[in-house]
Amino acid sequence: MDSDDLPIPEIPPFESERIFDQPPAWRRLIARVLRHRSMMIGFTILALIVLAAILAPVISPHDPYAQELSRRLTPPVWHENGGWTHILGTDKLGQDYLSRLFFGARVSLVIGLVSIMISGTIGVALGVLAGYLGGRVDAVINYFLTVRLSMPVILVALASASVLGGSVKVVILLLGFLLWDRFLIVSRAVTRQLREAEFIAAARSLGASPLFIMLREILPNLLGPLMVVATLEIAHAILLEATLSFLGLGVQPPMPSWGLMVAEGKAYMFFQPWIILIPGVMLVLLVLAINLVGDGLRDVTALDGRN
Amino acid sequence: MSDDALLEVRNLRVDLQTSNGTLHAVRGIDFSLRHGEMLCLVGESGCGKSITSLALMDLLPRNATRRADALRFKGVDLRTLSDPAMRAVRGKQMTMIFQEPMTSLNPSWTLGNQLCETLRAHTDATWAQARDRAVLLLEKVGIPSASERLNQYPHQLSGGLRQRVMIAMALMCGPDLIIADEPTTALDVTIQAQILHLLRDLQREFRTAVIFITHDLGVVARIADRVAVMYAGEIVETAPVRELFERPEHPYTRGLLECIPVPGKTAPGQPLQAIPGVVPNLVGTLSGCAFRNRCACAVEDCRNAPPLAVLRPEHGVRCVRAGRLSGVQAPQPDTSAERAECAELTPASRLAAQAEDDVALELIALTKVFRLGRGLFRSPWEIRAVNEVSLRVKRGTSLGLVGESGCGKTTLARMLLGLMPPTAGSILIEGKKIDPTDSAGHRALTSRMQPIFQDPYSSLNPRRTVFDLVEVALRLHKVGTPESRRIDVGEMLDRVGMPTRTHHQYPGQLSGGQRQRVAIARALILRPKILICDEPTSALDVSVQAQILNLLLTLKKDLGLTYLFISHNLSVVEHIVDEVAVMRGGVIVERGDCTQIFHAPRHPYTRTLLASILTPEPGLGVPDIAGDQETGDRCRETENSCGLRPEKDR
Repeated sequence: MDSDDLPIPEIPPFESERIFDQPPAWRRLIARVLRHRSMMIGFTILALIVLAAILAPVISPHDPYAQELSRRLTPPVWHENGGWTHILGTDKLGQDYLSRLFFGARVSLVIGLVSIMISGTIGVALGVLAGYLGGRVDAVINYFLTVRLSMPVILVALASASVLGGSVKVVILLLGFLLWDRFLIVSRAVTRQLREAEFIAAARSLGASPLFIMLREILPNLLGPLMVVATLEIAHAILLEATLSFLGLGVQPPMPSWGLMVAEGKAYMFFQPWIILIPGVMLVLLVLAINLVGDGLRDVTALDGRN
Repeated sequence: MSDDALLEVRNLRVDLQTSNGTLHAVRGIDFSLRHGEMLCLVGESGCGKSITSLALMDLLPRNATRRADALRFKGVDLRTLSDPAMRAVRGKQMTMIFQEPMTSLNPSWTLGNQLCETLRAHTDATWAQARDRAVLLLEKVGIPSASERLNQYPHQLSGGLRQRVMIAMALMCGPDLIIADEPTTALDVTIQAQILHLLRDLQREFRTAVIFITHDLGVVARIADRVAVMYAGEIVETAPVRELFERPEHPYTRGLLECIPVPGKTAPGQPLQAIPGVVPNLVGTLSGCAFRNRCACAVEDCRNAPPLAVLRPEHGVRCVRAGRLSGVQAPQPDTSAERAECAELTPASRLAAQAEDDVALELIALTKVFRLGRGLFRSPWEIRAVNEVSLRVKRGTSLGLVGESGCGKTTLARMLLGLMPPTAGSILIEGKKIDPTDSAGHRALTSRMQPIFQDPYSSLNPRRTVFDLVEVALRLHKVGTPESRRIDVGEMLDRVGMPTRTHHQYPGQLSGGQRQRVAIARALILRPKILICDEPTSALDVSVQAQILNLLLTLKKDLGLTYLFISHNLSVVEHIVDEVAVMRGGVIVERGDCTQIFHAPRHPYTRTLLASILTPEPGLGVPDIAGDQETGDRCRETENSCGLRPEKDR
């Protein structure tokens, strides 16, 4: 081995070579997603529920509103008196429980998503304004926040629903205008941190307007934390809808909703426990799945920092 | 190795489990340390030097695993020690000094409490004994009126004093080994010189062995007995300090030594010998020599992992061509073109070309006053962060603004960029007065003057692609059509050396140097005439710093730019600027031609600053910065204690 005689190369010969054997970025991302087991579990449950909600008219074995009083309170199939006609049995009016469960998923998901879109918009808009502009704007917005935090959500929702009458629309609007507090707190805090970052100073020295900075420079960087808040709040909204419906001020019968199903079943709790267990378990699963997915998304989409 | 070794490390490996796979942070390093020896671990960020020190202390993060063939400290095998046994070693026989003096002391306890606690935890000393030792050591580390200081809290001290307290704390139990992880990196240059001087004196006096971790070759040259150069988790070269600086063998060591500007040695304005490429990401498996993709001397044989070849006694090199490169001058393909371009740019011609009245930027009595402590029952008080600063920068030249932290240089830059309204005074660009507070003035300002910030990790929006980051400036100023903008941005990114494949990447996928290139492209896309560079290379590794400085020099010549170059690194300033203004306490204390300032400084503060430059010349030792600085240190103390950071706009 006598390398002295070798001519010295013009450019480093290994410049483009991969010295460290690494898979490409997209494959690492997929590997990260697949390795995140809790997120995959949450994602599977959520996908099944969403599919059931979308395909409800197709896959429901019966009309969810069709009453068959002669077969009321049929137990589910695993029960000794159950049968395959009504897999999850029927309720006190003889409506097919499985079909109502499918259609009820629609109500839960729609209320969860739409009300959080409304509250998220309100909360993030106010939070970014307060965080970026500071000063008087911040003081005024903080005053709104204090007012909002001093109101108990359920009490206000109950009072308003009893005045306005319960319906899906009313529940969505109510929750939308009540659940923005956490969005505001989180987006304000993160914005205050980002405001000091040098890329904001760079944008300002390029002549960017405050609106541009808030929308284009700050907002995309809020995605991670907001994703977590949003999943928590979707779960919160779904549970509140169930609560309101349970108390008779949310979705009105005969429309199916999981909260309403629990409410209607409460009289039979001791003798036909499945009648509240089935929608109750579904609520728990849905909320759990949303939280798992939210946490997972945050972990997986977190920006690659310096290693 | 010899039997009297205090610490012996054989084949130390540290693996970190990350979400992207296993990161081999330390890949089998060997070294030993004698009693009372100062070993410097030097290397760029991510080369595994900090992880090595944490591995010795058994303070690794949870996701790390440590393996070693031998890890002996005073004859005890550290690998077999239980947690309680290790705790007894830590703090008593082996202590650590961290980088950030602002956070390494607990703010809720007095200094006396924190100092005595260490001793009382490890020995059965009484409070009175512990106190006596604390006072003794505080005096040793040069803290005046030590016994009163014991009742003070960390926030009442400046950074330099805190680092002195940290050193005293490390010495409390009379340890055999101190691991100092970049202990002076967060400090100002004059304070750095004082702390290094102190550390060297105490180390000799107490015969303590020190592992000193740093990225600064100047520091290494002045304090080390022996040096180990790390790259990508390996020790690539180890030698006694004189030997290493006089006869470096490994291409990486030689590259490092050549790429730093040294006043009096490197020619100002000329391109530096940058090492091409970036430090590799250590995730994945390594084959062969880790440096070969940046090495100009690489040969086919480099695909095989080289052993540590012992050339001379105590001089080991991990290179397949070890000992045969001494006479070979490495070709520098990356800079040869740039050097040719800059060849005609001698310092004299740079200045002579300028007409007297051709002023690009002028500041007249610019002042910024911060009013603090506004409250119902408190009378407000003021800090004049920038006090009637007047400056002129001629077109096509560069002015270096130097000064230590808190001197007002960043506040000045922010006022120039229109990020902060000045309290008084005016800014003139090409003879026209600009009012940065009204929107038309601000617009005029932004198209003529652009910033390059210090920290490339926070100056780029992490959610935008490289292309988008640069294009947004054009869109904001409504320049051109989407098609013309695409071409424009592409050309600019080419010019700053960003290859096309990176244009659609996010900043998170780029290295520090690449990010700084993007920041430069973004600043230049509006074709400004003036660039305000606020410490543009201080967050970068030295090999990358040279690349960026070369780029800035080339761009200045090609585009006829004027620079206001703000820095605390005097060697860099000397290399890149024509004129220097020295700032202290919000005022310019001295200004003049670069050569005059560096060779015949008039103001005593300038002299102190210059004396504290640590050029990589072994044997010179650390300069003794006079006690005059100690008062300067305490002056800053009052400033720090009110928590003033001038960056905040309020």
